[in-house]
Amino acid sequence: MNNLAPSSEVLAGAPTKVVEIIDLEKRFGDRVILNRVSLDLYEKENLVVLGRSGSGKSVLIKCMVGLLKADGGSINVLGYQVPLLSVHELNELRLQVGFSFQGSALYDSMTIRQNLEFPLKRNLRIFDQEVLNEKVMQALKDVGLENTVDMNPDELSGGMKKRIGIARTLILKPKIMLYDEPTSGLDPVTASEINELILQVRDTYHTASIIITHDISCARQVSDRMVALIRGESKLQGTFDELRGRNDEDLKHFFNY
Amino acid sequence: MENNTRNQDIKLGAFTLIGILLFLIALFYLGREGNLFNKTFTVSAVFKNVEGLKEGDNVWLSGVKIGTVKKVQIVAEGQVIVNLSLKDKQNQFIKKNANAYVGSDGLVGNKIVVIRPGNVRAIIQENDTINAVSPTDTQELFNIAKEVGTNTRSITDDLKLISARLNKGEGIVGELLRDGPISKDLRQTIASLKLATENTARVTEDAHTLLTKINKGNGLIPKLMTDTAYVKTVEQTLDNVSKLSMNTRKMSDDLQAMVAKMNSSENAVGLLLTDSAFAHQLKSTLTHAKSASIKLDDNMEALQHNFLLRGFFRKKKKEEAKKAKGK
Amino acid sequence: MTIPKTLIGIADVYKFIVRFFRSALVPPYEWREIGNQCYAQGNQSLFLITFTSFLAGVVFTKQSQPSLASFGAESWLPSLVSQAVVRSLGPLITGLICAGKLGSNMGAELGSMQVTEQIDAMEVSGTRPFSYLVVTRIVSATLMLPILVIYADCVALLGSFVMVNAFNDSSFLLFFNEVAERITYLDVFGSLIKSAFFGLAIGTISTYAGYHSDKGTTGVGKAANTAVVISMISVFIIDLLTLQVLNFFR
Repeated sequence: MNNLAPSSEVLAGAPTKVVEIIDLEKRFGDRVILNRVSLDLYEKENLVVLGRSGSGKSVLIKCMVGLLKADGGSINVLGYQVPLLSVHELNELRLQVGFSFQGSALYDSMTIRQNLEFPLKRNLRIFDQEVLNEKVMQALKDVGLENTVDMNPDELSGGMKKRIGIARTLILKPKIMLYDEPTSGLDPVTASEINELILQVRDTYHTASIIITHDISCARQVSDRMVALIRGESKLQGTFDELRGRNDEDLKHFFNY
Repeated sequence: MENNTRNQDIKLGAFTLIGILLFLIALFYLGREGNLFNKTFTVSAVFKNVEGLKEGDNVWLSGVKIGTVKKVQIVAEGQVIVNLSLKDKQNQFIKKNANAYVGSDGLVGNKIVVIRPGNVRAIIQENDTINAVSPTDTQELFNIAKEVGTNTRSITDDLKLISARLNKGEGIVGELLRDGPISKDLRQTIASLKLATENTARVTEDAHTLLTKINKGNGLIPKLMTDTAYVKTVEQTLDNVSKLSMNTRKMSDDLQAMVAKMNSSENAVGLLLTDSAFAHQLKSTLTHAKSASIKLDDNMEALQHNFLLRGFFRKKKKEEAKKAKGK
Repeated sequence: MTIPKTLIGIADVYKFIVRFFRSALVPPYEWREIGNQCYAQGNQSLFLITFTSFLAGVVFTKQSQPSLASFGAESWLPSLVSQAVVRSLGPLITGLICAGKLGSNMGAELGSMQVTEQIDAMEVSGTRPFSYLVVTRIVSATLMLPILVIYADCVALLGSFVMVNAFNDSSFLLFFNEVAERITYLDVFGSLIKSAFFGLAIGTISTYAGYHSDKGTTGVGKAANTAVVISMISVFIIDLLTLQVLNFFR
């Protein structure tokens, strides 16, 4: 269990590094999706990974939680070497990493309450109904949707589903949040509300977040720092304004929308 | 890394597939009653006709299944070679002069090969050929035996009844005709028998009258007197008739003897069924009787249609008609 | 479909089955969810099984009656039907109905959960979706099939009795005695074990098809289709194999 030891990167005064990815490679058959991608994530920071559809952004964060197996390189998340983890250790890690899916992925055979109780019951093994209620209501309050608690997922709009999806991950009090295309398929107003929520989550839960997106307005709104993922390679790290100032050929079409 | 797992997966898949195949093969070989682990030996037999015997049918020895038919193949006209795959341990019971025939088992009549073990000392060897009894012979024999058996049984019952009455001194022919439940075969025979006897009597009488008339010289056909050929024909006819009468009497005697024999034995049915010689005798008696009566009828017919005697019979009929009118 | 691809597919199935047994045999057990699934699966297929097995009993009896009557063996009708129903007809009907009903259900349900990333969502919240979704379904199918087979046998025999009663007025007690006399413990246990294997196969195949379905709506359709077709084929194959095994004991 040496993986449980905190990262050795801790330096006095400097922000703590919670994720460190070095030379990550991933192929599907002969197709190279990620080619030597490296990036770091620090505490309480929103990192936006910007890239076009099919540039392997989703693959990157799926590799981080062990949904996909990397073909090379190392992924260190909160001190865990992800590719080497046992099933048990992986579950421990996943408790601390929240994952918001592109399609929000609510369990459509359950009510919202059951959706939110599900990870509590099955992972934290909490069965006390009072504790469950309290936690569920708190999470729903944080995303502003307390009144939906006994509804079914198919009664909700896309934006509401996104919020519930985020609430379901927040209920486990994660240290890191991973957002996969949080604003895709939403109108600009709703998208902006989601962006606000992302910022609010960072402030109330003190999470470090990686936000995967191709939406430049989202990137501008939520990012502390940005990485561009182009043709499977990570390049051009910096703040939003720095990246815009670079005038890079590959990034032009993002900024000139 | 990717290629490595891919190769591992291919190997794992191949092993799984082979494992499943081996499992299936084992299951099906075991299903064939352990033939996989029991050594077998093969003998063959050449039949004229196998009556639908096919591969996989059972081979019986003394009523015990000892193997299966491996192959059925026509090698020449009227020659079917049948290979039998037998359990190895059973070969000591089959001798060199064993023979095989095709029989059937059970109600539905699946074909089986029945081996009769033989009685010499030398036991059979791998790839030997054993003698085959053609199934047509055996099956026919069986069928005949069965038929005779059933016929005999019903006849016997009837005959028992008759014999009881006979003992009381009643006439056999009248009794037979009067009594209902006699088996059809026998009744017909007896009926023909009676008819034949009557006919014979009548013809004899008629012929006698005719001859007397001719001898007296007041006949209508003087030509007859001189024609020796015709006289010869008439004589022959009469001869036939008397022969038939003799036959008929013999038949009656046979029947009587049969009935007597039955009465003397306590278990008549059992006797009839086991004593095939007797059964045969009975059958031949019946056949005899039948053919005799048929022959007799034919002769009568021929006699009536003889153009020379036609007039005589016609006249006789007219006379009879007149008599009837007169009355 | 190249040979390596096929072999990799077989390896996938093999791993899936190994994973199932490992998850099913090692705690924590999912009793509550297994109970839910048992109820749901029984509920889903009960009406269909009642309907089909009753009709099968009626039809089988009606069709056997003339040929038995021609042998003068009409009184064998109950024992013939009971053997046919218990040994073969009951398990086969139940197997096929469940392959259709439960197979398509599992294939489509898990398929759509896979497509909409619900399974991934469970995975990343550490809630062991394999145990929750796959193991429970396979286990409950394995448990429910024998129960449904007993039920189907009873209903089919009831149908048969109705038909026998239509031919000649015989009492239920007589019919029941005739039936009970002919059925051996080997027949009953053989068919129960056989149907448990049906359930295992249907569950495994259908959940595999759903769990590994392709992305997109066509993936769901394909998963449901594969689940039903392969399940049905496997029912017949298992029927044959158990017959082989049972013949050792007869």
